[in-house]
Amino acid sequence: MHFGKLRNAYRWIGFKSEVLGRRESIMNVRKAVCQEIIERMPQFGGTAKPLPENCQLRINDQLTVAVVGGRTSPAYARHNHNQWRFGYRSHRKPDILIVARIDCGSTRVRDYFLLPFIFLPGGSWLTVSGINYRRLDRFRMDSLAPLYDLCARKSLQAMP
Amino acid sequence: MTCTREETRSEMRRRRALAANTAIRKTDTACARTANTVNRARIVLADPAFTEILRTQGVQALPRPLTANENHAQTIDGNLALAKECLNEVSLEFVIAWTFFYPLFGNPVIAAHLNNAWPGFIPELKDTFIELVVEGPFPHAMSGHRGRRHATRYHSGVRP
Repeated sequence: MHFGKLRNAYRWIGFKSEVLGRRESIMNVRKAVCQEIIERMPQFGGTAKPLPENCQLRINDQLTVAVVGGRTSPAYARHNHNQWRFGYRSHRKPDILIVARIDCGSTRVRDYFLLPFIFLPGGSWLTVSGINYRRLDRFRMDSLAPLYDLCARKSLQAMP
Repeated sequence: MTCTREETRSEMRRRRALAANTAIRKTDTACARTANTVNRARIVLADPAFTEILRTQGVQALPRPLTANENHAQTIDGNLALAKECLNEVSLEFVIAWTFFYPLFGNPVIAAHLNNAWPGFIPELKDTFIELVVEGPFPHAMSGHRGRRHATRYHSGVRP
């Protein structure tokens, strides 16, 4: 019997874990962000299609975008430490990485970081706190509107 | 000759200052170069002859941030302070420019027109991309203790 994921196997035998639940809720948020992009891109003259990889999209058949969740560990959240982590290891490197920051215990996105993947340093995890905040602050946005503006298309027929 | 501890320290201080200066200069160069390349891509896309060729070759739409009407970065050209200020926009727009233009270079008609009308544009775009991939836009600024110190100085504008 195939379970698809180990997480599914645990769930089927009734195992409940806070960690797995948190991961699942982050994954749901990522999927919701992807769905929102797919639905809204046509309004800006573009297209967005899901890719087989986890939460990756192909925008305008040119740009690969990955959506990841930025989270803070429960221990940091308890002590009110403003430290966030997100992973960006991927077999297929995206062009743009969207980091949706999600508060611990919440299912709502606090804000987004829109990062050009090629500019990220080597490694697979980035901790966002202290000085990293200052470095990445310019890439922070409250909504996905700047992404839509960035990926918007202008029809050549409409041009003089 | 005996080298005293004080002499060694002073030599190391001198080397660190030199390395920090070099890193800042490299960062400035990468920043200005990226801004200039994005600007050049805008100018190329504003050329009616080029858009006409794109139309005949089946391209149906242009990236809106790079079309001349939406241009808000013309003044960046040659203005390093502004380029640094708009680093986030410039870097994201560079990703858009790269993903739009790079597939077009494989089209002989488009490549020939670019080489004739805009000589140097194709190598410039490729070189900027390679430079960014190799060095990143924040050379020495995203990893390690020294990198963090460099980033602090760079963003605060303090010269060593």
